[in-house]
Formats: sequence, C-alpha cells, structure tokens
Amino acid sequence: MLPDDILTLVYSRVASADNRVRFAAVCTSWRAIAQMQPPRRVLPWLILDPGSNDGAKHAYCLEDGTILSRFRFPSEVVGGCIVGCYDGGWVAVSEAPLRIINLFSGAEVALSAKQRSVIRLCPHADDRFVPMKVIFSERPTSRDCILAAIIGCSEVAICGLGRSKSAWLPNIFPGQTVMDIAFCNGYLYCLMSETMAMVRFKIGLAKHGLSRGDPQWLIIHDQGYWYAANGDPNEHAAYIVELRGKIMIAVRKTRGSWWWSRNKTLPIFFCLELVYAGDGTYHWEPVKRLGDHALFLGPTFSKALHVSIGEHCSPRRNHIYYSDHRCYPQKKCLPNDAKKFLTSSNSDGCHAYYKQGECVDNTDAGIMSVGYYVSGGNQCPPMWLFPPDL
Amino acid sequence: MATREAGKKMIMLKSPDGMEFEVEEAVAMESQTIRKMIEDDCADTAILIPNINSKILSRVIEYCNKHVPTTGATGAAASDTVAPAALAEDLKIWDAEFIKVNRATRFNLIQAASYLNIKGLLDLTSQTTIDTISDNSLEEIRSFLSTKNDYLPEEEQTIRRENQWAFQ
Repeated sequence: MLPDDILTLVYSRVASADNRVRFAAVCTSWRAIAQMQPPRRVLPWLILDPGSNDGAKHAYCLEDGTILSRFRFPSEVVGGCIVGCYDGGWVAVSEAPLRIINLFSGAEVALSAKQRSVIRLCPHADDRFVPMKVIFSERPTSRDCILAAIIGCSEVAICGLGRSKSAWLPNIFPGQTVMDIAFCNGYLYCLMSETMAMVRFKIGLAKHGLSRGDPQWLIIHDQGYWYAANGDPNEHAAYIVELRGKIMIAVRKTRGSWWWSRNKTLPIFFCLELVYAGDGTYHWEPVKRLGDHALFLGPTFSKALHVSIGEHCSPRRNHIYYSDHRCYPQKKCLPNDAKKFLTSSNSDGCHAYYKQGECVDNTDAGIMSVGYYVSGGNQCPPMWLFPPDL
Repeated sequence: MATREAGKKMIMLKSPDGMEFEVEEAVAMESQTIRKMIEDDCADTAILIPNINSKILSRVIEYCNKHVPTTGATGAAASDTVAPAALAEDLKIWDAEFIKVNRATRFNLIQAASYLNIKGLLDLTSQTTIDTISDNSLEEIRSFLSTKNDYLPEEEQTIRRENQWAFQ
C-alpha cells in the first residue's frame, strides 16, 4: 500500500488526462485522492483520424507530443462526419439527423423534431439536413445555447438549442459562398469567400426561440486583401475567430503555388482585425501579434485559446496551429520540410501524419504557425478537440 | 562551519539515526528546503533532517552531487568542458541506474524529495509509478502496486463505461 501523501504527490505529477482517469479507477481511496485536487485544464488534442470506421482515433496531445492511442469515439460517433466542436469534448455529428454528443462522457443533447430538420431556402437543395459546419454560442447543455450552421454554399441558419420549440431560421446570400461563421458580442458574423465581405445579424433569445435582426453587410474600407480562389480548399481557407471580444480573420495563402506542383512554397497566414472606423464603416487592421493567445484552425472548428505562461511549452502563445483541409495522396505533395510524427494503418489504408513549423511573417516577435498534414487514404483530415477539465 | 577546500563552503547534514554527512553547500542547496534554511541563516552548525534515515539521505546526497553542476550552482565547472547535450544524456543514463531500487526505497525517496523539495528527484521517483499506471491494465496496476480493488462490480462497470476512452 502506498501512503496517501505519496499518492497525492504522484497524482499531482500525472501529466496526461487519460492516466489521471485510470489513477482514479484503481480503488476508492485513490479516487478520493484524485478528487481532492481540482480538475486540470486539458490542452487541445488533434484527432488524427476522425473519419475512420474503426474506433482508433489517435489523439495527438500537443502538450507533451504524445499519441493517446487508447482514445476512442463512442460507437454512435464512429463513421459519422463531425462538423463542429465545443469545449469539454462536445461535437456535432452531421449524419442526418444532426446529433450533439460528448466524446468523453457519451452524453447526448436531445434535439426536438423541429431542431433535427430545416426548411431550405435554396431551390433544388437536398431535403436532408446535413450541415457543413456547426458552431455553439455556449455549452450545449445550457438553455441559452444558440447553434449556427452553414447549411449550404450560400446559406446559414440559427437555432436555439435549449429552446425545444425553436426551429432553424435560415438565411440565404444568393451568389455568395459562406466561408466561416462566428459568434461575437451578440452577433453572428458570416465571412464570404473571395470578396471577404462580412455580414452580421443581431441574435437574441426569446422565451420559446430566437430573435434575429436583419442581415447587415458591413462597409469595410481597404478591401485590398481580397484574393482569388483557385479551387484548392487550402488556398482559400479563411477563418473567423473571436479574440478578446473582437472579430479577427486568419487567411491562409500558399503564395500562388498549386498544391500538386513539386516546387512548393510555404503557406502563410495573414491575420486581420475588424476595426470600427466611425460613420458606420470598418477597416481591416493587420494583426502582428496574438499576445497570450494561440489560434487553433481547422475545417470545422476555429478558436483562440488563452495560453497561460505557467503551462507547458506547447501549445505556445502567439502561435497558429492549423490542420490542413486535405488528405494528400502522397508525401511529395506536402511541404518539403514537413516532418513525420506518426504512421498508422487501419481498414482505410495507411496514413502518415506530418507537421511543420513556419513563420507567419519575418519580424522577430511575429506570429508563428504549425501545420498538420496527412498523406495516404481518402478520408477526413485531422480535427481539433477541446477535452473537458480532468 | 567546516571548510574542506578553499572556496567551497561545506555544510553538515544529520539524519535522525545519528549519521552525519558533510556536503558542499552548493550540493545541499539543490534542496529548496535546505537552501531556504541557509539563506535565512538557520544553518549555522549541522542541519537535522527529520524523518529521512541515513540510507535514504545518502542516496539523496548522491543524487544532488550528480545533479549540481548542470543546474548552474556556484563552484562547479564540469559543464564548461562537456557539451550540454552529452551531459544531459549522461545524466539520463545515470538517473535510470539510480532509480533501479526496490519499491520501498523508491517511496522513501519520493517522501524525501518532497520534504527536501528537490524537483528533479521528485519527478524521477514519481515517474516509475506513473509509468506503471500508464502502461498496464487496471488489474495489473492493482497487482503491481499491491492495491486492493474495493469498487463494487457495478461501480467499476460504470467507471469503465463513462471513461471508455481512457481504458481501451
């Protein structure tokens, strides 16, 4: 038997969340020791193989650079397409009907019949409700949680998750492609592809549903940052992130090279903050530092995370961590200096995972970025997961 | 206060079983607890280390002796001549040998490292137990650490079900 003081010391040094859970499962006195210490924040994981048909997901833990090979999805989520995440291990799974499940506890937020379907405004649209991206205004278990979804190229919809009588309120932007959406200060912001135009709605909660203001197209001066897309999903990847109550966008550029060309140049980001310029107009202001935040960017989920100085060296402040949107057929399609950190095989074939660090700009204290890539197979790219405190 | 070599201040550590250990002050100050005593001028003569027997204390001193130069303590110059990477590698090998002790000794070392506040030693001594938790099934952890499972079968089932991701 180990004395309690030693166990307490050992427990406080268990770095990885799964080992803390295992510690508490050994016996009741070990559980009591674990429960005496407050749960710790678990820094984001990169789920390397979210779309595989078996349970093995390979959670890559940035904090200590380890792979949590034990991590599995609950069976309801295996094989599903995850289109959104929220802190604490929540995901939105978009196999019609939409489901909201916690990957850790297996808990599910029940959706009413109204919440499981949507009336599409787009003519000839598929009737099945399969959103492309879902975001949460707050914890899904809260009565005040609002969902927003990109439900087609040019359609977004909102729904009060905690209001079972609330149906999805759709909105269409003819001729536009919605790239990303984000909540900020009571508004839903929508970023349009190519033009980088920005629309916002005021959103409020009513007793049984939602109130939504009229769409407001923001007048943004110095639109010189717009760029032409060429069909490559990475080439026109742009993300909206709320950072310290302000709207920021991070745009990824590959400096004009085609992804399959052998002579690749490095992708870079530029970050712009939406700043009010008076008289109802706005402008984009370049962001040179993220301060004590790090950005996590991916196809279905973007977030700015506060990184306290006391935490481990990774993830780091002033860094962008992004997951590439594509699964590459071969290694040679990846940036030349990407380093392999895992090879895994499953029923879908063999996949290799790479990461690569780069400077976003060349100033000394400039933002750094780390990209994650997968080669092999033809499946979902890696996704970010924000686990619960454990 | 004893002085063995010019420039090297020595300090006396006493274990409760009456043994005395003369060590360089820099080595003793690897322990934050002792460092504080020295800095507060509470260490004029010998320092009595309660609860740590001479066998464990001698091992702790052995650890501090080995680790003192790399942490930049005064008077140690070994790190000037050896490449830091090689030195770190050497220390790692030395640590691995050092921790090859029986379980009782290891637990005593954890307690000593905690009381004396020697972070490196605490990390090293706890890691073996953490590795056991990490690398084995629940049944194996219980048997390796001689801990009896007192969960009711249905309780254990619930724990395993609700934390499936940590067990498979």
